[in-house]
Amino acid sequence: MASGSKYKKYLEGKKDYVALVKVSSKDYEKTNVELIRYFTEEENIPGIYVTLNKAFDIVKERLTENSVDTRVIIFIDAVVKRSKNDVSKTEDCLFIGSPEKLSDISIAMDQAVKALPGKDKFVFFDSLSTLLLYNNPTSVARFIHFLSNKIRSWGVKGIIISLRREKDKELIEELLQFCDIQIDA
Amino acid sequence: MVNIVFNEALISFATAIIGIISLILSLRARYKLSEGTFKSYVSYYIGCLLLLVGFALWKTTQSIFQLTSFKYIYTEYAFLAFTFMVFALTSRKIFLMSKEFGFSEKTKKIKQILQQKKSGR
Repeated sequence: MASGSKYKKYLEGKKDYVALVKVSSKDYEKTNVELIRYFTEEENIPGIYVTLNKAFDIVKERLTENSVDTRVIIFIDAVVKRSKNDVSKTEDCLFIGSPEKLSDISIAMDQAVKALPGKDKFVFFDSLSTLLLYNNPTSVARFIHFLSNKIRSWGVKGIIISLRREKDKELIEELLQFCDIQIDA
Repeated sequence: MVNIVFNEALISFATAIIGIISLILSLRARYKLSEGTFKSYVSYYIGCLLLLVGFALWKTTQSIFQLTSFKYIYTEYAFLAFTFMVFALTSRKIFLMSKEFGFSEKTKKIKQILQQKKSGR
């Protein structure tokens, strides 16, 4: 649990916030697992994992391997298209089909947050960098602004993961104004 | 008689104007949305609105030109039937969306797990 506590100093005691976590591609997976473990094991709260980067099966497998209880997480997968329909669903995951479908991602997140029990919840958005591959920087900036406002209005703990890349530096600097906490993982 | 015809035409025209404003707002909303389920739902909704605006315009024309023969009355019913068919398709779309985007069945399960975890600590 020691590794999960690494984020305690940044996140402990805070009720609701938007945190932008900048991570190197080398530490990306480890950071994701540690943050999710921190929320599900240390804070014992349910949450939403929005994956734009890796398929749900892989993310779930990786988390389970690292003893993270994925039963308290609702997954939203915007990578895999499972059927010819726009959207499909299993018990644990909603498959949006593409990271370009920002409207569907927003609706899915809104519904998932409201479905989670209790007051304390988290939203984990993985990742800003992938969003930039499929959408133009203006749309991404607008979406993150919308997302940070939504996270505040939902009163949840929001984590936005971003790879530490030179080409995204400018946008990240711009997006920092919408975030309450900046973590360099 | 002239008064009734005038009133009917006026009401139909006013309804059509409200419909056109709704249509413009919906089209603008659709333009802003990214591709996906929600956008396709808005498209269905716009289809319904189009038919309703068409119906209101048809009623206005009918009142002004006194089109009261059976042929025109049947046209009116056909229009209404078609509008309801598109409404039925839109409702089906909402139903599918609720199945896809609804997570309420997961709520109970997560609640139980969290309680188990709490009592186990």
